[in-house]
Amino acid sequence: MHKHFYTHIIEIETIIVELDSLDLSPSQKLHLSHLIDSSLHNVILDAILSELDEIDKKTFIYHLSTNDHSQIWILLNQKIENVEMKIKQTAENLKQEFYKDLQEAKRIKHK
Amino acid sequence: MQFSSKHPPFEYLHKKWTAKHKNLSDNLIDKHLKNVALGSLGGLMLFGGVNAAISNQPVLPIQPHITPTTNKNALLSAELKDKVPDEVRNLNSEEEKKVEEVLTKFLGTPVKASIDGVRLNKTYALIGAEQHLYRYPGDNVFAHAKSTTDWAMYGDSGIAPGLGAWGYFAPSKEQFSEEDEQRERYYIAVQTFLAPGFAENVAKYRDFFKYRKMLVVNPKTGQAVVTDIADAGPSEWTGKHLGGSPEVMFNLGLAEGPRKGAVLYFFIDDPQNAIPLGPVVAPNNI
Repeated sequence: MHKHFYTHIIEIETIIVELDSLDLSPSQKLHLSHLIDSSLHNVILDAILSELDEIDKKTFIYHLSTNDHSQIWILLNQKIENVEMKIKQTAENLKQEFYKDLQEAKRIKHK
Repeated sequence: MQFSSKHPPFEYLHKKWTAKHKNLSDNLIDKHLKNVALGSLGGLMLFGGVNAAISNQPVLPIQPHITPTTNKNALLSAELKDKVPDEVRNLNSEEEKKVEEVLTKFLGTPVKASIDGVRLNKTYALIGAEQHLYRYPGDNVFAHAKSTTDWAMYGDSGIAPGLGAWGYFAPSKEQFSEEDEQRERYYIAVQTFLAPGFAENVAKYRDFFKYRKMLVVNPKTGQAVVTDIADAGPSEWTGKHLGGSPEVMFNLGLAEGPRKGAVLYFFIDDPQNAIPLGPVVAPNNI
Protein backbone atom coordinates (compact mmCIF):
# COMPACT_ATOMS: atom_id res chain seq x y z
CA MET A 1 0.00 0.00 0.00
CA HIS A 2 1.32 3.40 -1.01
CA LYS A 3 2.26 5.55 1.96
CA HIS A 4 1.61 9.25 1.51
CA PHE A 5 3.86 11.92 2.96
CA TYR A 6 1.11 12.88 5.42
CA THR A 7 0.08 9.35 6.47
CA HIS A 8 1.76 9.60 9.86
CA ILE A 9 -0.14 12.74 10.90
CA ILE A 10 -3.62 11.73 9.74
CA GLU A 11 -5.76 9.76 12.15
CA ILE A 12 -8.18 7.43 10.35
CA GLU A 13 -9.06 5.04 13.12
CA THR A 14 -12.36 6.72 14.02
CA ILE A 15 -13.56 6.50 10.42
CA ILE A 16 -12.66 2.86 9.91
CA VAL A 17 -14.25 1.87 13.20
CA GLU A 18 -17.50 3.50 12.04
CA LEU A 19 -17.23 1.98 8.57
CA ASP A 20 -16.62 -1.40 10.12
CA SER A 21 -19.94 -1.24 11.97
CA LEU A 22 -21.99 -1.18 8.75
CA ASP A 23 -21.61 -4.88 7.87
CA LEU A 24 -20.33 -4.13 4.39
CA SER A 25 -19.05 -6.76 1.98
CA PRO A 26 -15.29 -6.69 1.31
CA SER A 27 -15.81 -5.09 -2.10
CA GLN A 28 -18.16 -2.44 -0.68
CA LYS A 29 -15.74 -1.71 2.12
CA LEU A 30 -12.84 -1.40 -0.30
CA HIS A 31 -14.80 0.86 -2.63
CA LEU A 32 -15.82 3.29 0.11
CA SER A 33 -12.28 3.21 1.50
CA HIS A 34 -10.90 4.22 -1.90
CA LEU A 35 -13.29 7.16 -1.95
CA ILE A 36 -12.26 8.26 1.54
CA ASP A 37 -8.53 8.00 0.86
CA SER A 38 -8.70 9.63 -2.52
CA SER A 39 -10.91 12.46 -1.23
CA LEU A 40 -8.54 13.08 1.66
CA HIS A 41 -5.63 13.10 -0.76
CA ASN A 42 -7.34 15.64 -3.01
CA VAL A 43 -8.37 17.96 -0.22
CA ILE A 44 -4.89 17.88 1.33
CA LEU A 45 -3.24 18.59 -2.02
CA ASP A 46 -5.65 21.46 -2.56
CA ALA A 47 -4.83 22.92 0.85
CA ILE A 48 -1.10 22.74 0.16
CA LEU A 49 -1.15 23.95 -3.42
CA SER A 50 -3.33 26.90 -2.39
CA GLU A 51 -0.46 28.14 -0.22
CA LEU A 52 2.36 27.77 -2.74
CA ASP A 53 3.39 30.03 -5.59
CA GLU A 54 3.73 28.63 -9.11
CA ILE A 55 7.42 27.71 -8.80
CA ASP A 56 6.98 26.01 -5.45
CA LYS A 57 3.94 24.17 -6.78
CA LYS A 58 6.10 22.65 -9.50
CA THR A 59 8.80 21.70 -6.99
CA PHE A 60 6.22 20.15 -4.71
CA ILE A 61 4.67 18.18 -7.54
CA TYR A 62 8.09 16.95 -8.62
CA HIS A 63 8.87 15.67 -5.12
CA LEU A 64 5.42 14.15 -4.96
CA SER A 65 6.01 12.33 -8.23
CA THR A 66 9.29 10.89 -6.95
CA ASN A 67 7.66 10.06 -3.59
CA ASP A 68 10.48 11.88 -1.81
CA HIS A 69 8.87 12.52 1.56
CA SER A 70 11.84 14.21 3.18
CA GLN A 71 12.16 16.77 0.36
CA ILE A 72 8.43 17.39 0.46
CA TRP A 73 8.57 18.17 4.18
CA ILE A 74 11.64 20.39 3.80
CA LEU A 75 9.80 22.42 1.17
CA LEU A 76 6.52 22.57 3.07
CA ASN A 77 8.14 23.56 6.35
CA GLN A 78 10.01 26.36 4.56
CA LYS A 79 7.06 27.70 2.63
CA ILE A 80 3.97 27.16 4.76
CA GLU A 81 3.64 28.22 8.35
CA ASN A 82 2.27 25.50 10.66
CA VAL A 83 1.91 23.21 7.69
CA GLU A 84 1.37 20.07 9.76
CA MET A 85 -1.44 21.71 11.67
CA LYS A 86 -3.03 22.92 8.44
CA ILE A 87 -2.92 19.45 6.92
CA LYS A 88 -4.35 17.92 10.08
CA GLN A 89 -7.14 20.48 10.22
CA THR A 90 -7.99 20.06 6.55
CA ALA A 91 -8.21 16.31 6.95
CA GLU A 92 -10.16 16.66 10.16
CA ASN A 93 -12.78 18.88 8.50
CA LEU A 94 -13.37 16.34 5.75
CA LYS A 95 -13.37 13.49 8.24
CA GLN A 96 -16.13 15.21 10.16
CA GLU A 97 -18.21 15.27 6.98
CA PHE A 98 -17.53 11.57 6.46
CA TYR A 99 -18.40 10.93 10.07
CA LYS A 100 -21.77 12.67 9.72
CA ASP A 101 -22.51 10.68 6.57
CA LEU A 102 -21.67 7.48 8.40
CA GLN A 103 -24.04 8.37 11.22
CA GLU A 104 -26.78 8.97 8.64
CA ALA A 105 -25.97 5.66 6.94
CA LYS A 106 -26.35 3.93 10.30
CA ARG A 107 -29.76 5.48 10.75
CA ILE A 108 -30.75 4.19 7.30
CA LYS A 109 -29.51 0.76 8.31
CA HIS A 110 -31.76 0.67 11.36
CA LYS A 111 -34.90 1.93 9.61
CA MET B 1 -18.62 -7.62 -13.75
CA GLN B 2 -21.80 -5.74 -13.02
CA PHE B 3 -22.14 -4.82 -9.40
CA SER B 4 -25.51 -4.70 -7.69
CA SER B 5 -26.31 -4.00 -4.08
CA LYS B 6 -29.32 -4.08 -1.83
CA HIS B 7 -27.47 -2.50 1.02
CA PRO B 8 -29.12 0.90 1.62
CA PRO B 9 -26.36 2.33 3.85
CA PHE B 10 -23.80 1.41 1.21
CA GLU B 11 -25.89 2.91 -1.58
CA TYR B 12 -26.27 6.11 0.40
CA LEU B 13 -22.54 6.44 1.10
CA HIS B 14 -21.58 5.37 -2.41
CA LYS B 15 -23.71 8.09 -4.01
CA LYS B 16 -22.81 10.80 -1.55
CA TRP B 17 -19.09 10.11 -1.44
CA THR B 18 -18.77 9.61 -5.19
CA ALA B 19 -20.30 13.06 -5.70
CA LYS B 20 -18.13 14.55 -2.99
CA HIS B 21 -15.04 12.97 -4.51
CA LYS B 22 -15.90 14.27 -7.96
CA ASN B 23 -16.31 17.79 -6.62
CA LEU B 24 -12.98 17.65 -4.85
CA SER B 25 -11.26 16.24 -7.94
CA ASP B 26 -12.75 18.85 -10.25
CA ASN B 27 -11.83 21.59 -7.82
CA LEU B 28 -8.23 20.41 -7.59
CA ILE B 29 -7.85 20.18 -11.34
CA ASP B 30 -9.49 23.53 -12.02
CA LYS B 31 -7.60 25.42 -9.37
CA HIS B 32 -4.14 23.96 -9.64
CA LEU B 33 -3.43 21.18 -12.06
CA LYS B 34 -4.56 22.63 -15.35
CA ASN B 35 -1.82 25.23 -15.26
CA VAL B 36 0.91 23.52 -13.35
CA ALA B 37 1.01 19.83 -13.60
CA LEU B 38 -0.87 18.13 -16.36
CA GLY B 39 2.07 18.14 -18.73
CA SER B 40 4.54 16.74 -16.27
CA LEU B 41 5.34 13.45 -14.63
CA GLY B 42 4.13 14.92 -11.39
CA GLY B 43 0.91 15.84 -13.08
CA LEU B 44 0.41 12.29 -14.16
CA MET B 45 0.82 11.13 -10.60
CA LEU B 46 -1.50 13.75 -9.23
CA PHE B 47 -3.97 13.05 -11.94
CA GLY B 48 -3.91 9.39 -11.00
CA GLY B 49 -4.63 10.41 -7.45
CA VAL B 50 -7.55 12.66 -8.22
CA ASN B 51 -9.19 10.26 -10.57
CA ALA B 52 -8.90 7.17 -8.44
CA ALA B 53 -12.26 5.66 -7.68
CA ILE B 54 -14.45 8.31 -9.28
CA SER B 55 -16.21 5.71 -11.35
CA ASN B 56 -19.85 5.21 -10.54
CA GLN B 57 -19.21 1.50 -10.32
CA PRO B 58 -17.84 0.21 -7.06
CA VAL B 59 -14.23 -0.83 -7.19
CA LEU B 60 -13.76 -4.52 -6.62
CA PRO B 61 -10.73 -5.87 -4.81
CA ILE B 62 -8.14 -6.96 -7.29
CA GLN B 63 -5.64 -9.69 -6.61
CA PRO B 64 -2.23 -8.97 -8.07
CA HIS B 65 -2.53 -11.71 -10.66
CA ILE B 66 0.54 -11.86 -12.81
CA THR B 67 0.31 -12.41 -16.53
CA PRO B 68 3.13 -12.58 -19.07
CA THR B 69 2.00 -9.31 -20.58
CA THR B 70 1.66 -7.31 -17.38
CA ASN B 71 4.58 -8.32 -15.23
CA LYS B 72 8.01 -9.79 -15.66
CA ASN B 73 7.54 -11.89 -12.55
CA ALA B 74 5.80 -14.38 -14.82
CA LEU B 75 9.22 -14.94 -16.37
CA LEU B 76 10.50 -15.97 -12.95
CA SER B 77 7.72 -18.50 -12.82
CA ALA B 78 8.79 -19.84 -16.20
CA GLU B 79 12.42 -20.00 -15.03
CA LEU B 80 11.40 -22.05 -12.01
CA LYS B 81 9.02 -24.36 -13.83
CA ASP B 82 11.47 -27.19 -14.48
CA LYS B 83 13.32 -26.68 -11.20
CA VAL B 84 10.44 -27.06 -8.75
CA PRO B 85 8.61 -30.41 -8.45
CA ASP B 86 4.88 -30.66 -9.08
CA GLU B 87 4.23 -32.13 -5.65
CA VAL B 88 5.08 -30.19 -2.50
CA ARG B 89 8.08 -31.99 -1.00
CA ASN B 90 11.53 -31.21 0.34
CA LEU B 91 13.94 -30.15 -2.35
CA ASN B 92 17.18 -32.11 -2.59
CA SER B 93 20.47 -30.23 -2.48
CA GLU B 94 20.82 -30.20 -6.27
CA GLU B 95 17.34 -28.75 -6.69
CA GLU B 96 17.99 -26.17 -3.98
CA LYS B 97 21.17 -25.09 -5.72
CA LYS B 98 19.36 -24.52 -9.02
CA VAL B 99 16.62 -22.54 -7.28
CA GLU B 100 19.23 -20.50 -5.37
CA GLU B 101 20.86 -19.51 -8.67
CA VAL B 102 17.56 -18.37 -10.19
CA LEU B 103 16.47 -16.44 -7.11
CA THR B 104 19.88 -14.83 -6.63
CA LYS B 105 19.77 -13.57 -10.22
CA PHE B 106 16.19 -12.41 -9.68
CA LEU B 107 16.90 -10.45 -6.49
CA GLY B 108 20.43 -9.33 -7.34
CA THR B 109 21.60 -10.41 -3.88
CA PRO B 110 22.69 -13.86 -2.64
CA VAL B 111 19.72 -16.05 -1.81
CA LYS B 112 20.58 -19.22 0.08
CA ALA B 113 19.01 -22.32 1.61
CA SER B 114 21.45 -22.05 4.50
CA ILE B 115 23.69 -19.41 6.00
CA ASP B 116 26.59 -20.26 8.33
CA GLY B 117 25.35 -23.84 8.42
CA VAL B 118 21.91 -22.87 9.70
CA ARG B 119 18.88 -23.87 7.67
CA LEU B 120 15.19 -24.48 8.13
CA ASN B 121 13.47 -27.84 7.87
CA LYS B 122 12.17 -27.01 4.38
CA THR B 123 12.67 -24.62 1.48
CA TYR B 124 9.57 -25.56 -0.51
CA ALA B 125 6.36 -25.97 1.45
CA LEU B 126 2.81 -24.86 2.14
CA ILE B 127 2.22 -21.38 3.43
CA GLY B 128 -1.01 -20.39 5.21
CA ALA B 129 -2.50 -17.05 6.22
CA GLU B 130 -1.62 -15.57 9.59
CA GLN B 131 -3.16 -12.66 11.45
CA HIS B 132 -1.56 -9.33 12.23
CA LEU B 133 0.73 -9.21 15.27
CA TYR B 134 0.72 -6.76 18.16
CA ARG B 135 3.56 -4.33 17.51
CA TYR B 136 3.73 -2.40 20.77
CA PRO B 137 1.77 -2.36 24.03
CA GLY B 138 -1.68 -0.90 23.38
CA ASP B 139 -1.62 -1.67 19.65
CA ASN B 140 -4.88 -2.66 17.92
CA VAL B 141 -5.88 -3.89 14.49
CA PHE B 142 -7.21 -0.51 13.33
CA ALA B 143 -3.88 1.14 14.04
CA HIS B 144 -2.24 -1.21 11.51
CA ALA B 145 -3.93 0.54 8.60
CA LYS B 146 -2.09 3.34 6.82
CA SER B 147 -5.28 4.32 5.06
CA THR B 148 -8.87 3.19 4.96
CA THR B 149 -8.08 1.24 1.80
CA ASP B 150 -5.27 -0.48 3.63
CA TRP B 151 -7.68 -1.42 6.36
CA ALA B 152 -10.31 -2.62 3.87
CA MET B 153 -7.75 -4.94 2.32
CA TYR B 154 -6.02 -6.29 5.40
CA GLY B 155 -8.09 -5.40 8.46
CA ASP B 156 -10.39 -8.41 8.29
CA SER B 157 -7.49 -10.72 9.06
CA GLY B 158 -7.65 -9.62 12.66
CA ILE B 159 -4.86 -9.67 15.18
CA ALA B 160 -3.35 -12.71 16.85
CA PRO B 161 -4.13 -12.99 20.57
CA GLY B 162 -0.51 -13.71 21.49
CA LEU B 163 2.71 -11.90 20.68
CA GLY B 164 5.14 -12.92 17.95
CA ALA B 165 8.15 -15.06 18.75
CA TRP B 166 10.28 -12.04 19.64
CA GLY B 167 7.61 -10.23 21.66
CA TYR B 168 6.56 -6.72 20.71
CA PHE B 169 8.33 -5.12 17.74
CA ALA B 170 8.88 -1.99 19.85
CA PRO B 171 8.62 -1.37 23.61
CA SER B 172 6.16 1.51 23.15
CA LYS B 173 4.19 3.42 20.51
CA GLU B 174 6.62 6.32 20.84
CA GLN B 175 9.58 4.08 20.06
CA PHE B 176 7.81 2.28 17.22
CA SER B 177 9.81 2.93 14.04
CA GLU B 178 9.27 2.64 10.30
CA GLU B 179 11.47 -0.46 10.35
CA ASP B 180 9.32 -2.04 13.07
CA GLU B 181 6.23 -1.29 11.02
CA GLN B 182 7.67 -2.94 7.93
CA ARG B 183 8.79 -5.94 9.94
CA GLU B 184 5.25 -6.67 11.09
CA ARG B 185 3.77 -5.88 7.72
CA TYR B 186 5.93 -8.39 5.87
CA TYR B 187 6.49 -11.01 8.53
CA ILE B 188 6.42 -14.75 8.17
CA ALA B 189 6.20 -17.49 10.78
CA VAL B 190 8.50 -20.45 10.15
CA GLN B 191 9.05 -23.70 12.01
CA THR B 192 12.26 -22.63 13.69
CA PHE B 193 11.74 -25.37 16.28
CA LEU B 194 12.08 -27.99 13.51
CA ALA B 195 15.30 -26.55 12.10
CA PRO B 196 18.08 -29.17 12.11
CA GLY B 197 20.21 -28.59 15.23
CA PHE B 198 17.73 -26.24 16.91
CA ALA B 199 17.48 -28.22 20.17
CA GLU B 200 21.26 -28.19 20.62
CA ASN B 201 21.67 -24.49 19.76
CA VAL B 202 18.57 -22.71 21.00
CA ALA B 203 20.18 -19.37 21.84
CA LYS B 204 22.32 -19.26 18.70
CA TYR B 205 19.40 -20.19 16.45
CA ARG B 206 17.05 -17.74 18.17
CA ASP B 207 19.47 -14.90 17.45
CA PHE B 208 19.98 -16.13 13.90
CA PHE B 209 16.29 -16.35 13.06
CA LYS B 210 15.21 -13.10 14.71
CA TYR B 211 13.94 -10.84 11.87
CA ARG B 212 16.08 -12.82 9.41
CA LYS B 213 15.12 -11.85 5.87
CA MET B 214 13.74 -14.50 3.57
CA LEU B 215 12.63 -14.35 -0.04
CA VAL B 216 9.26 -16.05 -0.41
CA VAL B 217 8.17 -16.91 -3.95
CA ASN B 218 4.97 -18.29 -5.38
CA PRO B 219 6.46 -20.43 -8.16
CA LYS B 220 3.14 -20.65 -10.01
CA THR B 221 2.98 -16.89 -10.60
CA GLY B 222 6.47 -15.61 -9.88
CA GLN B 223 5.11 -13.25 -7.23
CA ALA B 224 7.83 -12.67 -4.66
CA VAL B 225 8.10 -10.88 -1.33
CA VAL B 226 11.09 -10.02 0.86
CA THR B 227 9.91 -11.02 4.31
CA ASP B 228 11.34 -11.32 7.80
CA ILE B 229 10.93 -14.03 10.41
CA ALA B 230 8.88 -12.64 13.30
CA ASP B 231 7.10 -15.70 14.61
CA ALA B 232 7.55 -19.44 15.09
CA GLY B 233 5.00 -21.84 13.68
CA PRO B 234 2.70 -23.25 12.49
CA SER B 235 2.38 -26.45 14.51
CA GLU B 236 3.11 -29.65 12.64
CA TRP B 237 -0.48 -30.91 12.89
CA THR B 238 -1.84 -28.00 10.82
CA GLY B 239 -0.43 -29.49 7.62
CA LYS B 240 1.09 -26.10 6.83
CA HIS B 241 4.78 -25.35 7.14
CA LEU B 242 4.98 -21.59 7.34
CA GLY B 243 2.62 -18.65 7.70
CA GLY B 244 2.46 -15.24 6.07
CA SER B 245 1.08 -11.90 7.24
CA PRO B 246 -2.04 -10.61 5.43
CA GLU B 247 0.19 -8.36 3.33
CA VAL B 248 2.57 -11.19 2.45
CA MET B 249 -0.29 -13.46 1.40
CA PHE B 250 -1.82 -10.72 -0.73
CA ASN B 251 1.44 -10.00 -2.50
CA LEU B 252 1.98 -13.70 -3.15
CA GLY B 253 -1.46 -13.92 -4.77
CA LEU B 254 -2.67 -16.25 -2.01
CA ALA B 255 -5.08 -14.02 -0.11
CA GLU B 256 -8.27 -15.51 -1.55
CA GLY B 257 -9.96 -18.91 -1.41
CA PRO B 258 -8.20 -21.36 0.90
CA ARG B 259 -5.51 -18.75 1.59
CA LYS B 260 -2.66 -21.21 1.31
CA GLY B 261 -0.33 -22.49 -1.36
CA ALA B 262 3.11 -23.85 -2.15
CA VAL B 263 5.99 -21.41 -1.90
CA LEU B 264 9.76 -21.36 -2.04
CA TYR B 265 11.43 -19.67 0.92
CA PHE B 266 15.15 -19.00 1.07
CA PHE B 267 17.37 -16.83 3.27
CA ILE B 268 18.60 -13.53 1.88
CA ASP B 269 22.26 -12.91 2.64
CA ASP B 270 21.96 -9.21 3.45
CA PRO B 271 24.46 -8.29 6.18
CA GLN B 272 24.23 -4.58 5.27
CA ASN B 273 20.43 -4.61 5.61
CA ALA B 274 20.21 -3.14 2.11
CA ILE B 275 17.26 -5.08 0.73
CA PRO B 276 13.91 -3.50 1.66
CA LEU B 277 11.05 -5.64 2.89
CA GLY B 278 8.04 -5.95 0.62
CA PRO B 279 6.98 -7.22 -2.80
CA VAL B 280 9.67 -7.63 -5.44
CA VAL B 281 9.22 -6.75 -9.08
CA ALA B 282 11.40 -8.67 -11.47
CA PRO B 283 14.27 -6.79 -13.08
CA ASN B 284 14.45 -6.53 -16.84
CA ASN B 285 17.25 -9.05 -17.16
CA ILE B 286 15.47 -11.96 -15.50
